[in-house]
Amino acid sequence: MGYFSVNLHSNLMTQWKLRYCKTRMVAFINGDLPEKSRRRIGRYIDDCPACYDEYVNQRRALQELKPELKRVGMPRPEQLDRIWNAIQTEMTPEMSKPVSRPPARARLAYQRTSYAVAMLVTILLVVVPLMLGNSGVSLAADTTLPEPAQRLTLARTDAPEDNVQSVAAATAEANIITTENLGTTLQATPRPVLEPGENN
Amino acid sequence: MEQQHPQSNDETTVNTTSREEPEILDAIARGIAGDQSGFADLYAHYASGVYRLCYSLLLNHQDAEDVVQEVFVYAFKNLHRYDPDRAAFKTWLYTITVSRCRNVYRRQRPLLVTLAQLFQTNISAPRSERPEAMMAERAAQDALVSALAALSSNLREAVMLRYGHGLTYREIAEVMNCPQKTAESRVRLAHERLRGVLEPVGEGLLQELMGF
Repeated sequence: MGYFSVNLHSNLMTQWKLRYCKTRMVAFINGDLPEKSRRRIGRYIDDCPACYDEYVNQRRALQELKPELKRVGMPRPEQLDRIWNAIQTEMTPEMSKPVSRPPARARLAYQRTSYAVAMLVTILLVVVPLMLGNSGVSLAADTTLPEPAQRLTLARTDAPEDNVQSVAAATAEANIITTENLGTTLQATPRPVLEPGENN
Repeated sequence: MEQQHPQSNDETTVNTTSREEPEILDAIARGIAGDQSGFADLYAHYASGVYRLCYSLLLNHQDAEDVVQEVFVYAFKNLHRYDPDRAAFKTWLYTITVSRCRNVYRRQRPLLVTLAQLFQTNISAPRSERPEAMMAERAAQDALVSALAALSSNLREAVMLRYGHGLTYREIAEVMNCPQKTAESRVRLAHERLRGVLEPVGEGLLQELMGF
């Protein structure tokens, strides 16, 4: 019973040490651990074969990875020259100097002016049409209808001659030329004077 | 690239108590003063690393070139914002780079990469002339890059910053804007997945490839 208990305790301790080493081994190899942890892992590596194996494996992996990863993305000189030319193009002498900003008071005045203009535009676009619509005032001309035309109604008779006579009588008052006074009108009209060479 | 090295402007001073290299601080000071040679020096020093990082995250040359340009233009315009006491210039530059790369793969399609294109342009020529070694190296590179492309963007960022660019976990956490523990676990996870890819190739062949 005592043997099994000791063996179980030993296994648990080994697992615990191994877990501790695994989480810190990379930092240990890189020299990034504090002194206390370094000493502890050093003891575990000496005592525990599994921890030693972990150390060997991690160290080998680091030796493999480091040179390979340092070679990834190595630029060619012409690439760096091209980028430098682009940087120089983008960097003008003014850029290296502190950016000059307008004074705070000027910026405030500018902002106030902007707000005032925005409010004015809002009033013009929204408020004024609303006021005009509610007051009943219209900018269009007055839409009164013209007087209806007076209709001349004639009594319908069977004798057309009488009808003609009555129309002639009605137009005579309005100084309209009718068949009756046509001759008189033509005689009263002066003869047009023709220019030489104008026969027609 | 033509570079000039004029005298540094004494009026522009950068805190020299930081751990940044003096020549970098000098270049930054010249850049802040508007001296183009400061920009040229910074570009010459960091362009390759920024390009590698961009490419390893985006796996596309055109996108990488565009982002590198964006990063340097932004950095040069905002050089006065860099604080040497807070972080190394490289960390600051990589923070901008990762942020810009995230913008790219956020607005773009899922990562589609042709392996032939990747190998042709990014992996150097085989170091061994033996056909078996060449084939094995090709297979290893194939597996590695395809595994890199299959990683999530967070894991890819973490593992490339750690192994590809040698940043510490603290710097990675700063660049990725996450806790340091998260950065550590991301590197570990990415490491596990990439290790699993390399194992089937065979230790012997890999050692021959790597020149061990």
